Amino acid sequence: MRNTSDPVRNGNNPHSAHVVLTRPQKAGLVIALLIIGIIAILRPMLVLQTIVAVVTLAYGAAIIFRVVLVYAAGRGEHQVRVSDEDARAVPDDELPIYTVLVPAYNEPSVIGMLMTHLGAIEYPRDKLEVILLLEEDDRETIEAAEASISGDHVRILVVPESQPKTKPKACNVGLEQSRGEFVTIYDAEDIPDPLQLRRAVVALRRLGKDYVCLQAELSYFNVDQNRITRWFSLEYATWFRSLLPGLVALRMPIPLGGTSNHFRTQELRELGAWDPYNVTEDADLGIRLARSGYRVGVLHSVTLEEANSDFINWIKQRSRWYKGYLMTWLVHLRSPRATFRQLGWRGLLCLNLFVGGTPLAAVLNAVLWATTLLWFLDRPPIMEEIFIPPYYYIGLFCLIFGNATVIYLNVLSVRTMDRPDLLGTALLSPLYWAMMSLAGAKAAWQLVVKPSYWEKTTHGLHLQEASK
Amino acid sequence: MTLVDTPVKTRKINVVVLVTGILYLGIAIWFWRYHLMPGDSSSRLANAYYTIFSRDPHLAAIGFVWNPLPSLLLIPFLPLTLVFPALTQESLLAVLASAALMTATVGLFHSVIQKIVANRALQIALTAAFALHPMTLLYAGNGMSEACFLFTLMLAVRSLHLWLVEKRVEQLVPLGLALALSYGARYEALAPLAAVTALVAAITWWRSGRNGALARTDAVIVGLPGLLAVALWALASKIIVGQWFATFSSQYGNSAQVSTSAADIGSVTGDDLAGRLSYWGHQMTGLAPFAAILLIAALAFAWHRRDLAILAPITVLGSVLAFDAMAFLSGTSFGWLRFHIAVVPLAVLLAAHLIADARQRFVTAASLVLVLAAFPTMFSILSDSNLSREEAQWVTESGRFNTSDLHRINTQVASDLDAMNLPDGAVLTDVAYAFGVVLASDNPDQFVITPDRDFAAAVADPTAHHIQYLLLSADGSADAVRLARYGPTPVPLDNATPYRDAQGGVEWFLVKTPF
Repeated sequence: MRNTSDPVRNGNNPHSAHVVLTRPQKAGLVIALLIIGIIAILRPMLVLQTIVAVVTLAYGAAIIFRVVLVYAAGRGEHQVRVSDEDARAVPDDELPIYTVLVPAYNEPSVIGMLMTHLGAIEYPRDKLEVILLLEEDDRETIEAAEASISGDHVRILVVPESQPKTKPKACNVGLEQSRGEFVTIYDAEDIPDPLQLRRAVVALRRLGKDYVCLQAELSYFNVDQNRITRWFSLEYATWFRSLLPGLVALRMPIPLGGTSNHFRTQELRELGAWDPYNVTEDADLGIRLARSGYRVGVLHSVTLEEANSDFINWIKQRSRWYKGYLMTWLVHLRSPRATFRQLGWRGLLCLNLFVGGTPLAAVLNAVLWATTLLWFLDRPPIMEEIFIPPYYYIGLFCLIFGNATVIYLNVLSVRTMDRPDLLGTALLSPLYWAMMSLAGAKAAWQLVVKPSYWEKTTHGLHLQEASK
Repeated sequence: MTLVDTPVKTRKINVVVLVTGILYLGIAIWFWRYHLMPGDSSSRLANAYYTIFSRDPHLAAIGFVWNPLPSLLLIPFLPLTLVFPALTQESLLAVLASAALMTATVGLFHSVIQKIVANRALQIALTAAFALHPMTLLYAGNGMSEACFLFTLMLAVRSLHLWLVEKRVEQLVPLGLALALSYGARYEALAPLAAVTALVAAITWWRSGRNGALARTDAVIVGLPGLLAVALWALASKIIVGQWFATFSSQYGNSAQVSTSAADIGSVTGDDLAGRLSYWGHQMTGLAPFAAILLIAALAFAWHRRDLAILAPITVLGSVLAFDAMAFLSGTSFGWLRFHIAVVPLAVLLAAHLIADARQRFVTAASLVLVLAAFPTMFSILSDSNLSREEAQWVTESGRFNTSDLHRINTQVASDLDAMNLPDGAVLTDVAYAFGVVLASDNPDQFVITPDRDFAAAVADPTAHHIQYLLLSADGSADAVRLARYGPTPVPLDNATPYRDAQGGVEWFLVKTPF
């Protein structure tokens, strides 16, 4: 085995989340907190009013941004579409070698199904390289994989034990050894569209060198398992059909999703691949691609995943995502001037309102709902002092129109998904936001306490459910 | 094709918009120059004005008796009054807003016409039939909420038309928002809100092969914004003034006004169903004499051509007309001519569909004649001040004299008060009536007005609140200040300064405290 420590650790990446806050960032934060603390002692009301003003403005901006994204997505086509005919029209000998990385940990039960789903992919076997990335200490999965793999194009790569033990590190090890001109990642339980690789090849060739990555649409196969999976599916439909195409339309960075992103291998390597310390390495990579001037498209081709159906499991997964988004936000704000130079104002807007804004809004939601409730129950006079008129009105506007807008967008997603049976689920979204708030609070706490800790999501819950 | 078409179309619309804009601006300036603004338009402006220029500026001062959009739209322009005081003191802003909104309405109307008929000359002629209709001209210049309401209704007509033709679900979003906005303008919008939602559900159900779930979803997409608008406005009203629907339950609201004036209304319109029906029929014949014929013919041809788009104007504008007709016939409305203004664009749109669906020269000519017949009949209605009671205040010489005289008196009261250099909160008045005086004053802070949060306390004990004067309307049936002080008995003249109109009738009493 080659020594892969440098690229694996992603050591020369200035935006590595190995350290979440750099020393200047920490110093800045401490000084800022000190100054705020001092003012808070002298003029507590001023500080509270300012906090309310800043939060309200940011919140309002995030809501408006969301509406703008959906509006932009609705005007014209912003997904890359490749028809079945076009996808199949490329002769086999003109297809490049394609590497599929499948990182898995403690998932012996889904490995067998993975083989079936990957077997359905329409791509010449001699041009296809599937690498199962399994961890050294995970004997169970390794054995299950050894028992079920078939074909020369599939191989197991045991990732040697080293820290950090994360999915992006495994992927970096896999990328080191891959032969493909293109590379993609699937999770073990994914069911990709069989023509997805061919579509990606046609699309990337059609789009040209500027595009180094395509994100395929993710959706769920167990939508109807319970209310959580329905909410989750609706959320993904909005994300991949409205928000991401909206980012494309506005030429903003695209935070990638965890799987089914298709890369040009060479450019991905040059970029330093994934940050093993970032718990949403995918979103971070999307921003880094944009910083390097590359573009990302959204491919109209669906990979079905397993929606998290269990409350605790969902909270764990979501809190990891939020923690990762916060991390990504912080690491890219290390040198604001460079960020602005590389991303421009559009990128900066996306980074703040979308990457930073998503988890922050989730946390703030709970605080703001609690404040509203307190107001109606008790009407403490101090709140009238804190919420001074212009911000009070903006806040009221956010409370009413913000919530209504997001529910409304969910109803629209129901319609564009052609799943009118989810109408009730869309109207009940505020309960889902409560779950998000919980996850957001957990994420914020973990970011401080154990930033690199990877909350593993248990997969295969739909199998347990089915066998009950 | 479309790539080439679009800019040309836009330019042609721009010319139409420009010409109408200039015309309407001229009319607005006429209304302003001769002080002919109706009280209701100054009152909507005043509602906006209190949110910034009053002793107790707060957004809720906009009030809950009237739906807020016509006032809300004015708020951003209010600071300009520091440079051009006439904007508020002489209600110029209100008439400019109605000119702008009616111009936009004509622009929307023209774009819908362009989607129905292809011939350019016909497009212009039909647009002109709406834009130059005397009723449209009057309400483009007088600052009333009709322009705002028609604008939102035309937005809805346009979106519904597009959806009926192109069937794209995204088109239901602007439709839903337009309906919500129209409720912001007038509560009559409840009718199109319900009617359009039902229509969309029915059509989706029918188009999707009777898929009930899909129909429900589309109904939610169309209806939810409007439903929220209704619910939130009611909730805000309940929280701030304690009434869910103040226009129906407030002593200042529409219902209260109608019941106080029931005898007056009855004497003009007749107080039984037959009388009202005849009155309503007369008004409708004046506004659009052949609307019924156009409706039947257009529906027949549309049925033949399977032209669903005709349902857009019928559902949106027709439901408003039906709502107002029902309200009037059941005796719960004033029966103002303007309540039927929606029939003006409706008749022209029906003619457009008829022309497009029939495709016969004779029908085209006949439709145009039927539409244009409204011009002579409208003049006969306007010359009968029983049928056009409000309009008579601007189109007849005596009406114009009385209207501008009211402005003169208000300005007189305001300048007398200003001359006294009173401190803040020295004059207590109910702005349900005195809005014109407050607008005309240079010092709005001297008034304690109805939306002020200490108004009720000041009414209960004026002296304790350092009130120096009460400004009372002579006959405002719900004037809270006068009723609290004198009850239903007339104001005794010994301690009060009366302000009289040209005929010698008292409009205002200024009462010095302590009494």
